[in-house]
Amino acid sequence: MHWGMLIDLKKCVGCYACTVACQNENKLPLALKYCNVAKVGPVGEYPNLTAYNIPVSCMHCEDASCVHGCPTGASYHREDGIVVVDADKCVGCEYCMVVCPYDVRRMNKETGTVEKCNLCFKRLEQGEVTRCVETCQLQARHVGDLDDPNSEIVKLIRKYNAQPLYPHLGTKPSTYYIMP
Amino acid sequence: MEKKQEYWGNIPAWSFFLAATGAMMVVIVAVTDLLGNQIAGQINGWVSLVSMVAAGIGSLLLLIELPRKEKGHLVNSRPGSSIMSFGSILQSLFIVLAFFYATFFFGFIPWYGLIWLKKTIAVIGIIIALALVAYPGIELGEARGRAFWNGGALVSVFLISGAATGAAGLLLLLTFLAYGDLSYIAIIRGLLFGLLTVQLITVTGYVVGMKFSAAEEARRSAEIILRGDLKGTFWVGVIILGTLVPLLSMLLDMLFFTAIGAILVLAGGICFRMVFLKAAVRMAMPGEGREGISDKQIAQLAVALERRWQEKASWLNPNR
Repeated sequence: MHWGMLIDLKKCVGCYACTVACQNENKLPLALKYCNVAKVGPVGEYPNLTAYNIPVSCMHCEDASCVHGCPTGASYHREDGIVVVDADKCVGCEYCMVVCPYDVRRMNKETGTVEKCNLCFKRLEQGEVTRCVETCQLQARHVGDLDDPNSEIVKLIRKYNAQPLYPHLGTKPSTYYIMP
Repeated sequence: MEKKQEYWGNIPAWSFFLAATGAMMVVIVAVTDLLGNQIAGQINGWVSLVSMVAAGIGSLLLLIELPRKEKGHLVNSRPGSSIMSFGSILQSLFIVLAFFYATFFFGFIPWYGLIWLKKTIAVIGIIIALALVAYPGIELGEARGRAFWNGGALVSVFLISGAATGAAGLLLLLTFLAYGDLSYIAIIRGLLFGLLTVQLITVTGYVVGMKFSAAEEARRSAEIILRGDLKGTFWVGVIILGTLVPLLSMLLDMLFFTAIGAILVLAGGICFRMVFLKAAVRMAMPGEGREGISDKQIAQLAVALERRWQEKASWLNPNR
């Protein structure tokens, strides 16, 4: 079992519904976001320009710098591939934030610990999808088992040749994007 | 203006600086002691105690910066897999060893005469101290999205800077302990001169090398150092006052100027760490730092659009 996410950038309109839903689900203060949506573009060669929106949250990398680097063991891989932070062990040294190439970790100044997307693992354990996937009205987000060749997510990744962000860094992200 | 590395600031830089300076002071005096230098036997105890205090203050600074200080001990829990944890343990070990090594130089200590034990501790201390000086380079190199820290020479640059500040710290201590009239100070002065020359080449070489790196974020980092926000700290703090002026002062062969030069080397050492820590910008994410379209871009698009209209007009009305 290896949970992963697929985001279809052809469908995403940048409505921020996933960001808000995530904040509600995790009861986050307004300034703290686990999922950011960036506006990209226009990019390309004139007149063939395009603009798109790209939601970015923790990539749950298989070879995660944050997990390797964490001096306390607060950041760790669950057996299902999800990278989580144990708030009891986190001392707030921010080394994980320094080494994460995707800038998806946030310091919660109230608790003094680092937080990030946990892929709603409690919802997944109960057979539900993540809150962002449930909220996305355009069905731009998919969550599923990357180890199962027959899962919907794997079929979509193959069909659209979805790619992770910056694969050359070698972190083996579990989030894939269908590029516009 | 380019955003700098936003998480680790001056306190980690001070911590790296104090640990490296203390560690290299011990390395230099322990090596000279092992080589049979007579002066070493008179000063090594005090040097080791000062090194221990410096490294200890460095550790305390890191602890002070932790939001959850009460759980600070957990930082030592994963030395096998986390370089930060490994470094923390190295620093603790160094503090203990520096203290133990210092005890061999005070006559009232029961094991004062045990030369074999002193030499064993010196060798272990040298190895641990060198690892402690080099480890920030390895620790920063783990950040895969910050190419400025991924250069293979980063560890060497940290080692050379640490050696220079260690020699400078030792020179200052020798002056304070009034050993300035002895030949030992000439040896350390010569060593510092050589280290500063190497530092000048390696530090500038590293930054200029990054300026021509294939990674875009490494080029941005070098630009911040050479011409951006950190240019003053780099050119004035690290290169001119931290390296060139001390080099000249070492040539003068006068104790006063040697001491001034040593102070400047120490100041340059802290500036170097601040610059190298802050400059390492992360690889830009898609859409990051996006601002409104500029006037120049509008003009370029307008020109392109006009050209396109002209092309279309010629297709639609070929006879005009």
